[in-house]
Amino acid sequence: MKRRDAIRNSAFLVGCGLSAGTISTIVSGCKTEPTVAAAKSFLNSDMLALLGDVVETIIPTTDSPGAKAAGVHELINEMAEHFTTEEQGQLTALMGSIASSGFADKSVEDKESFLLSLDDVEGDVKPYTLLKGLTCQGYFTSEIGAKEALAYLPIPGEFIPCIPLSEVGKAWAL
Amino acid sequence: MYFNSQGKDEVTYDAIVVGSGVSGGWAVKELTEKGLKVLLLERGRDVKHGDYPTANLDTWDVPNRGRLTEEEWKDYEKQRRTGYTVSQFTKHWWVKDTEHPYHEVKPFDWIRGYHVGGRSLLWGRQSYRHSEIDFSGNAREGIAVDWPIRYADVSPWYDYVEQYIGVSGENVGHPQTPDGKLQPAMPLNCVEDHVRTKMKSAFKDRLLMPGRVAHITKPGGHNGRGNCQYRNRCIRGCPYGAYFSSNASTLPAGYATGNLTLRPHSIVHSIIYDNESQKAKGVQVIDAETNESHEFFAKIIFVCASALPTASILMNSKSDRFPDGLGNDSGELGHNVMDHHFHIGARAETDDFGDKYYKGRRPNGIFIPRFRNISKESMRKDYIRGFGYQGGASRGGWWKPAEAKIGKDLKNEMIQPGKWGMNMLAFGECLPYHDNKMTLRYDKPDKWGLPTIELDVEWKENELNMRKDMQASAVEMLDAAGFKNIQPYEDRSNPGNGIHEMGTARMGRDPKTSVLNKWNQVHTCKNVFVTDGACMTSAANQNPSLTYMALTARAANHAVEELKKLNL
Repeated sequence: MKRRDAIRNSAFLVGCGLSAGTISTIVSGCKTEPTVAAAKSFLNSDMLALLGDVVETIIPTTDSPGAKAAGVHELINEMAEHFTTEEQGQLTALMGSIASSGFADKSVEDKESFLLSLDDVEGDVKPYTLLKGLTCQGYFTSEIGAKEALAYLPIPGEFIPCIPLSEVGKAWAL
Repeated sequence: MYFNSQGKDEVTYDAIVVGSGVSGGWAVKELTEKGLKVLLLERGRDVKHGDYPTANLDTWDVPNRGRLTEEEWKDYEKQRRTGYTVSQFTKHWWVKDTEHPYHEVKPFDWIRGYHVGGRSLLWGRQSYRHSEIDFSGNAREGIAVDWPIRYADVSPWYDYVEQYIGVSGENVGHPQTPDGKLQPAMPLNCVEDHVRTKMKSAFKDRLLMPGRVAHITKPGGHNGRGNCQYRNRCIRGCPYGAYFSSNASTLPAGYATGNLTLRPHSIVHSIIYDNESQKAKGVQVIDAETNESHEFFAKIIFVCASALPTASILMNSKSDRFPDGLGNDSGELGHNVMDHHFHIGARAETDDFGDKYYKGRRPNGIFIPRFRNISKESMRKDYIRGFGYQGGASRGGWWKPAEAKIGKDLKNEMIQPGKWGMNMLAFGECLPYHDNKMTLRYDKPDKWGLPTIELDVEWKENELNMRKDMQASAVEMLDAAGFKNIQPYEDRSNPGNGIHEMGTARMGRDPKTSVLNKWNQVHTCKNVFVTDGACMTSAANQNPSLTYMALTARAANHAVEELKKLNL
């Protein structure tokens, strides 16, 4: 069996350094297949747009499209449909406090410092760290993240054990 | 009630093979190629080579980016325990625990795939020979019973199997890792190569080598199977047939003879013993879809259902002659359950080689063969036998930790590969203990009315002592290789989690203390052969599938010789 993947699989949960324990509290809340419930939307359209702004702030468009173009906010919205009631409450409260800060009108720098300040709370659940983990994971497992931000090669056809990094230039997506 | 509408001739074959995994597939190939009409019984659905629906999908092509939802997980409570088996890419390969229950006196992770090909589609593909040290260990140390065979008995069959299935790797001339007939090795990357060099100077008895893996690395041959494309999506099924599976290799060989009949959805209830001839005359089968009972007849029967179901079938085959299960005069049937204990070792990082990378996803890693209790210098006082390591070096990807917290800096950091890390994961030998056993729960039947299996297996003192050294030696080697941030680890390692369950119908010299003879025949019912993991007399520390294949080919050859001599 693929035990080396077991190691990697647990690392898979560590999107941008988020510990497996914290992200799983959100991810494991999923109760049914997102595709089944995709027709419904947990967030209303204003909040969904705001979440798009948030994920784009975390992973912005550079020479490759950012998290909003990759649909990461829509992915989180789909997943939220299946969070536990408690987790849904946390997300709703979090989005509420982001909205009431006048987030949309802030400069990029102010958006960043506002999001980072969300972690200035007591307790194990750090709201920004959770958002960052979900965004990283959603982005780099998206088609845009894999194909345009990272180096995507689904069928390598060969294994070359040692090459200069400059030949690839970035991390492999897979 | 029986529903066989056919005449007896139509349900009579030369041979019946139960199970289509690595062992059953080999029995089919050998017996059909030698001209026998073979009925292959598989409890699950048919899977033809190429019928791998997720083989080319990406994370964004499947629900929930590949993860199961909590609702879905409810069906896979025990299959989930490996941490890697079940995903949206693989869930169709694993049994639902809700449909296939078993019971645990102590924690036991029984990880199963019920379909044609079985776990040959899902295995780790690491392929090592057991050595003379392994075959003679029980006799040398007075453990359990002696293997009735030695390395020389199996060596030609290892040659035969390796060449047929394609095993890539390196010959190193170590007595504990016998040389094989190998395809070109999958090379070490630059960090692994560095560790190999450092280890050579620091430890004269330890060696790091590329893992031996049942992949074709050299194009051509192997009946049209392709060579490895380095996608590392093996567990979904390989469209190229580059790694060995029954589906890609042995079953097509069986079909090509015209001598193979497959009957899927066929759960073997029991083997039918004939008092008069003192042989088995056939098997009773429950159709998994209709619940109807059928009987099929043959001159010889190969039971290759995997270690626990094979023992279960024999235990449920009760007769006046065998009130405690077919061939169970010794009382050893269902006992001596073994697996490999692992989930322990160390990982570490290095800042070196930052300008180096690799191309391709090698579905393989490193292997460090056993180095304990082999020579006078390597003898341990605290345990017998030994362990090997698998693992390897790689660079972190987008899942690595990041220093930057947000925005452009975070993104730019994440799209660069991380530091090199190296993992050494130990796999240790488990001794055969009579106490480690399975029993049948007739009071808790499954939905077909068959008794379910209850497992009572634990690691004991020898394994627990060994584990300390398994971790300490990994730290020692990573330190000698100049790594930093060395992190020893130990995670839960329930028996069964190695997915190498074995030993439930062991081979031996004496019918009073073992179930099978040196040809994998049931001592007291010689036309029944058991060649899957059930037959193992000791576990060694290597991955066992190659040995099952070699023993199956050897037993099939013997069976046909005996048939020709009219001895069966």
